[in-house]
Amino acid sequence: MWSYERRLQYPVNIDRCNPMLAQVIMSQFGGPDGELAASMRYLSQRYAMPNRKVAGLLTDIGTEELAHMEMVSAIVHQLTRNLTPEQIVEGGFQNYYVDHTLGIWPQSAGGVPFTATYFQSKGDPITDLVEDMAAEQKARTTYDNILRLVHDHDVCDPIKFLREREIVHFQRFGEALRMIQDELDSKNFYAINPAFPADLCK
Amino acid sequence: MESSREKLFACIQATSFVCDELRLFLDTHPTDRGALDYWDRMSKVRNEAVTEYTQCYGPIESYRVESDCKWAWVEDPWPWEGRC
Repeated sequence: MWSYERRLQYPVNIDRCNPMLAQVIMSQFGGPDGELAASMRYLSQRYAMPNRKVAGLLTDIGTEELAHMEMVSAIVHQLTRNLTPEQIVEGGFQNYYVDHTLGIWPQSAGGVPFTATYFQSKGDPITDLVEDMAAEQKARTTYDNILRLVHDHDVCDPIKFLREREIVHFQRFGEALRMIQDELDSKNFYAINPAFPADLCK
Repeated sequence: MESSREKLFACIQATSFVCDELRLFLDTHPTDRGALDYWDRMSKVRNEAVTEYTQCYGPIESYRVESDCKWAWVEDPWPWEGRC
């Protein structure tokens, strides 16, 4: 189970609203490389992970991603709270506003709703960990793209923190993949799904 | 000038982050002596800071809410509200 702590993993304190930026940053909540997809990916994959250490890593990173989802949501919330109708139109926020007012809803920057098809849980430790490493890199690239558009230090600061976490997670998943590969049987030279050993008996 | 409440909260934030980082490192390096010692030191400091903060300013974890005459968990601003 999970329990909530009354704090963000890293503080978010934004005074100046910016609906245009909010629309871009919300992609890291509900977009293709966002934190919601990341958390659901790792927390779904862990059941088929035969190595207990790697299953633990998926649990702990999946949990941290929930905290990142909360940070991204807090950034979007603080960038859009108390907007006037004029600011909504000037910031190009009217298409989001008409469906969600100033509520937080998982979608990409382009308005595509969150979907489970953003991630896979393949039941193959090697396949899943390679996806996880790619996912961390894609999220890092997205944060790089966001940082080129942000000039407000109060927004940059937590985004930089989130970007750095992608790099650490990539490193840990790389170690996890090595642990899985080190355990492969010599008969499984081509790294066929080690979670489904019946395939190797043919 | 930081208040003692802010200082204590900053201590919880910093030690929690060290623990978050060490937890992932230890998942893939479970016998690393230096990381294990660091974990023991930091989790102790964090635990003491959370206990002191809870007593002085209110709960961060809902399991630690002490029932008084009213449910304190929902009294203070939520973390996503930012500076108020």
